[in-house]
Amino acid sequence: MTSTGYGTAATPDLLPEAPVDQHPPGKRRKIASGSWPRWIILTVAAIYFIGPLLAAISFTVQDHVHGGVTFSAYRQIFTTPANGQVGFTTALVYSLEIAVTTIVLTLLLLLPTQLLLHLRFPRVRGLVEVITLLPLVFPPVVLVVGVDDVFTWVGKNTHSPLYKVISYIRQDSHPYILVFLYVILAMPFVYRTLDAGIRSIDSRTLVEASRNLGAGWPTVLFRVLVPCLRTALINSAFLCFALVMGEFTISKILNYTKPFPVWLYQLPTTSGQVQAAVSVFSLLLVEVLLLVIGALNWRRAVEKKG
Amino acid sequence: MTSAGRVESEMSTQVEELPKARGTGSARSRRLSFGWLGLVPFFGYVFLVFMVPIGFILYNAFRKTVHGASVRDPVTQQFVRTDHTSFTGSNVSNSLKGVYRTAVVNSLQLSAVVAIIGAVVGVLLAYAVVNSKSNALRQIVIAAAAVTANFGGIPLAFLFIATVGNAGMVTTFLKDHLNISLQNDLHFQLATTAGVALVYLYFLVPLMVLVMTPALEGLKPQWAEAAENLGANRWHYWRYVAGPVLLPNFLGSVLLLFCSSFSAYATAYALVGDSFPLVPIQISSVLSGNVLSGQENLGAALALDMIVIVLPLTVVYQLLQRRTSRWLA
Amino acid sequence: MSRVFGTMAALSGFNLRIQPGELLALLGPSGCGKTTALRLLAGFDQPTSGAVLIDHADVSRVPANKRDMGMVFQSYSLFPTMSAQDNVAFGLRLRGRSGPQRRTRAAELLDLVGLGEHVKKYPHQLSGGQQQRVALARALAIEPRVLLLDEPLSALDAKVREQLRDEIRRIQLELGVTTVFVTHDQEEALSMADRVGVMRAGQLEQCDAPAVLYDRPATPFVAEFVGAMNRLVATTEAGGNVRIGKQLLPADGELVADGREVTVLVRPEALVVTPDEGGDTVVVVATFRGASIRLRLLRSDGVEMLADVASHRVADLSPGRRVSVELLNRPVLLASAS
Repeated sequence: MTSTGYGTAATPDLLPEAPVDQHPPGKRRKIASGSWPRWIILTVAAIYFIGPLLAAISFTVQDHVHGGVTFSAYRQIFTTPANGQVGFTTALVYSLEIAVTTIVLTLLLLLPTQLLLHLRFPRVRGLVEVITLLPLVFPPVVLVVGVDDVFTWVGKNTHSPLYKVISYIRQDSHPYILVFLYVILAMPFVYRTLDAGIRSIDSRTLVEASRNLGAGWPTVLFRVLVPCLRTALINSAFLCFALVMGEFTISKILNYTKPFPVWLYQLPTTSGQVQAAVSVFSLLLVEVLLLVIGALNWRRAVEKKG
Repeated sequence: MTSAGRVESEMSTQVEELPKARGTGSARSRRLSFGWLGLVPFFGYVFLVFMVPIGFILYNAFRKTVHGASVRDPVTQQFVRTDHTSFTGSNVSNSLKGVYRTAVVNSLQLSAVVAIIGAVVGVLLAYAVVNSKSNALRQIVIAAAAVTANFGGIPLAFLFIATVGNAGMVTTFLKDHLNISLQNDLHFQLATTAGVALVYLYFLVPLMVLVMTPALEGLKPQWAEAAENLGANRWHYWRYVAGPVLLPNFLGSVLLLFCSSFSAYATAYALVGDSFPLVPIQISSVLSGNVLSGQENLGAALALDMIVIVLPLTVVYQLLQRRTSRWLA
Repeated sequence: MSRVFGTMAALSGFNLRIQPGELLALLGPSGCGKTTALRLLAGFDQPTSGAVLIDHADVSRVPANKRDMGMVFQSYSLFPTMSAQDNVAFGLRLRGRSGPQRRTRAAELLDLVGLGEHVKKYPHQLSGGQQQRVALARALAIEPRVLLLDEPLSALDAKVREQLRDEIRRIQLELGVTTVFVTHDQEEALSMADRVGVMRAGQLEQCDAPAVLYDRPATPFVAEFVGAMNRLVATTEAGGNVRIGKQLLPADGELVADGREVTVLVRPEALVVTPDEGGDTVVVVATFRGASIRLRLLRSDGVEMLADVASHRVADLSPGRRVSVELLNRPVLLASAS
């Protein structure tokens, strides 16, 4: 399930696996494929998807003063607004830091747990899988209500240690509460990715073989399993990254102003040009990153086959 | 060639199995309990960061605080408000009145419309891609879909504002060159069901494509051949063979799209703000204090409303998924 | 009566005539074109030149869904959302039969293939063998002119395969339906078929009854593909004979009697193996096969031979024993120079 409340929708990992195709594409029986105007559908889709991007780009380079093209909107991205808000790089770095922390915490939490489940408690896996799907059922918009309620309740007694703890993790300079919540949001996707990876490398045999050769558990974990799970770990890291960089709902409702999407939204602008410019810029950035990772993955898959 | 020969017998022979070495009983139980300990971080974390907040929602949705007068506490000499908190259903009932009712209706309508349109368009697109002779096209579309489905809410909203917003490229083009007002003549505005739906489709259609492409590819070619062999034409094949196989997947995807758009916040917020009531936006509005006294827990009630709508749909979705995996595996 | 001839990428100069009511097996290694030939018959592929004739009518341009043939695929062909009964009745539904009619006929056919109690079961509830039975019933339900089977047993376990093999043959004989059966398993082909067409690289090498194929293979490929064959060196002599070792045997084929060396093909059962302390051949491996033993022999000059002997001789002919080998006085087959 997806929600743009936290910016990331789905990844192919969460969706049903494509079975191996017995016949190459294009050799399907006529009754199964269409001589329908396929090109009409594809063209309309292309217009709908690429159109707004192009329109936005031309919107951002319009020069209302002199006519013609100007890149002033893009230049403005990097200047610090006068009203005390932070600048582009500050907001970006802010989100980046949160993203990295989220990645580390998520992997630290999930990887050992999943390995333990896979090797020692395979029957509990079903339960855990259901649990990891819960954040999809209770979307961020709902979760943040609960979190806010917890804050209100804790806030009633300003002398309790709990209050001190909660205040600490809420602070703007180190918003750990965001990290904690993002780990939950990332769980469904990261769990599935790591699970696929763990299943595919036949972990049980690797562990037994290395233990048989005398390896202690740290060695098994770091020198045997983790290197084999590299792709899954990288994919998970990237999922977390995309999620955090795009997450708006929770950070907005909890009144943080520095995370990148919130900053983007609150950018003061008269014509909307600067906001559009930042949107285009960040979209292209994320797209390029995704395509690069995708290309790397694809190349690895090709190398494995060949 | 070997110098010594051997008699091979095609009859099976018994192979003796050596008994596996086992640890002592106490060592085993030590290992087991240590293992359970290892699961504590995960379950503990999920409980603290997820279950507790959700629990608060479920509890608070039925709680109301009536504020009493402020009195001075004799012991601490502080002013303390005497509040009376009780269980009530008024939060929930209020959450379905007035602007909130409009929001729920809008959200349901929007989600239903966009789920159906997105599903149909997505399936057609997936169909077009799956049946193309070019492998490259398929790769490109799948990659593009994965990227587009991940477009964040805010940038996407601004993209469309820049296109069909009040000062958008298309809007001004129509006005300047063709003298058509997007708003008055074509009755289109971003801050309406149609407008928001248009934007939501941008990430919902790729999601649908990503879900249905494996399903369409999972249709075994033998089914089409067997059907044809038995005398079926295209209509028969889709009506009796492929359609029933894909139906659970399709319905599940519609539910997926519905829940996605129902829960979406960022895009809606950037597009419409307060002018077009939607449940997620109402929730954030309530949480930022925009609510009558005595109705503080309305946010929790609204959240509960969302849960009540989305949860059953998710269960149905899971059941449908389980069915299809059996057929398409 | 069906006849296929034509040229396609996978077939060339392919000419095959099928008699009504016969079970003809197309046998050959992977890639030899046997499946292509079957698909030509079914109408799934079109020949680039040539035609497909059924009862003397040219059906080359008739689409697959109008050819009135029943096909059984290797696997996965049952419609997953339908019960066994509905699967079998599918072809009848398309032909406009009423509900009760369909159900009766489907029940009849499922009974015929031994699945009378499983009419309501779904494909995922059936074993591989049961699924293929349903597929067979489904193909027969429409009373096809020709029954086509594309390696239907290849995906099944050995035991199930044997059972089903006999079943298919029994049903085919009972109904008298013309059948074309594609397989790469020669045991299957030889035991089931009235005639077997051996194919290689798109060409039909020989099409005869199994016994003829075995005893009088038309080409060296057929000789070695069907059953095992020993390759021995002989010299040609007058009178259409060849000399192998100390023996002079008639040759089955054209030869030039000039003393040149030729390769002859000899079946394992045509070798006579006698224990002989002074023999030039040693037993390397003896494989017990129930009724017979297959011996792998090594001659002192490095030539390997296969011989089949009666199993009661197992004690005499254990590995390591020295033996001498002679050929039965039968004509030997000449291999071509290539």
